[in-house]
Amino acid sequence: MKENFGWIAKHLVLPLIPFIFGTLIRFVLHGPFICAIFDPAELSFSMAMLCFLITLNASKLRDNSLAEGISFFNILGMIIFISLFVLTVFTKVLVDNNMLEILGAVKKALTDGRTNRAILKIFNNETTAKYVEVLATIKLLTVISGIAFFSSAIFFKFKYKLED
Amino acid sequence: MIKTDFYKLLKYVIPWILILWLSSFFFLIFSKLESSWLISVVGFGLGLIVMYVISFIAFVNRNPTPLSISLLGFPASGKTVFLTVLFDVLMTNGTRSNYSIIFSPYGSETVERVVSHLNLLTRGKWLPKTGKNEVFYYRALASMGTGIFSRRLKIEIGDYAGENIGQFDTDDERWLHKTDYFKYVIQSEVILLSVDSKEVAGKNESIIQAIENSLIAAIQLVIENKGVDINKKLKAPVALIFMKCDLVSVRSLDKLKNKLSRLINLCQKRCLYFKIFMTSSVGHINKDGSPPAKLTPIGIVEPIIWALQRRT
Repeated sequence: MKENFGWIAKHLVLPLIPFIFGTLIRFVLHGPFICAIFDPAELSFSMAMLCFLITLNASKLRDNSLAEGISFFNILGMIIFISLFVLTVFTKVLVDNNMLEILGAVKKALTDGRTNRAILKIFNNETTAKYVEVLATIKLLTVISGIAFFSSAIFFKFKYKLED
Repeated sequence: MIKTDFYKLLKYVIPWILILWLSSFFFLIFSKLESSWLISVVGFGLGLIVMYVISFIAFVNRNPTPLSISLLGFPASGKTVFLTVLFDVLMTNGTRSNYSIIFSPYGSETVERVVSHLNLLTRGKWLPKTGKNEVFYYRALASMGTGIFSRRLKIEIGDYAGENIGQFDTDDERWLHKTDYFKYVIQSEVILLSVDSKEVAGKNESIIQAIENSLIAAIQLVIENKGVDINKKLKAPVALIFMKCDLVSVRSLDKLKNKLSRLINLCQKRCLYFKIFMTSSVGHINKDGSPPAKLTPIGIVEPIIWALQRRT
């Protein structure tokens, strides 16, 4: 029992700390809005670490073919989550750039003394909406993949008796 | 072969799919296409997850739950011969309708090892002593029950040198140098205690006491390390196997039991499943002490079948 708790703490909880803390901070700041408090970058990075730790742990198994199989699934997980992390960061950079462009345009519009309607038009930017949509898609894929790989890690632990 | 090809296929195909997936995402972001593209990307991602689930299920079906069995005993008690003959019987007599258990060896190493050892035995030579730092894991797949209620297990029995039992004895120097063997025994789900019947039937009380004390210490440590409460019993089946029973008369079983009464009492009190077995790996030996050309094992499969039935 003690060993199981130790294993879960080391291989499941520890890599998820960035995600757990990030979510907790946003929960305190924004309240319990499930969509808003999840950050796909944190989740994908944490899940990539989790897959890495499971791969290392599986290499300790005496049965080589079983160890190779478990490692294969978790390496696949690492590739997926690192890809999702890169995509999230890239999209966020694009969103930030777009926001800076909007702010610049608003500043220029204000200096030029343009109407409120014109300023509102700048805010209703289609590109921003597109990026937000892309981020939501990445978030969905990260959450689904996260659930799949997290449950498979627990499954591997108890079915194949992964030990420290 | 098919398994390796399947993994190779996945290893080489999946990175390319991911590259395609990533490039389609970047393309999507730069080209600012309509959201129907986004839906197709989500579909692609979900397709990957479905692919993962399918390969995961296939992997789990190929790799049943492992069941580790430890075989404890003093040096030269006949552990390696027991395992060799046991796996030969399981391989050749795989289906046992009486127990509805089907066996099949797992991994080429087990088959190669069993065949090479059997060749030695049938040539009238005893197997070489297992080296102190040597270990070999005999593996087999077992399927119990039928239909949707069938359960598959991957059995693993570690063949360690008998000297390692000293790791359970405080008087032995190996007590201070616990190796993987100790961890293996502690974590195993079935414990087979092997004793040499001839040794126990003999008159050397100090050897009998040493055997009994070591096995008692081993059982106590297993109970302690598995966290079994004082008023509860160890769930792992424990079998006491009297090896080489062809060398003692059948009537002497009670005498043998009396000589190991402390060990038997402990097992009966602290283990939920405990049974004594009389086995002989070769059946009889030639006059010159060598193994016979035709092996006629006695009661060799029963301890394993009994233990497996208690695990289900």
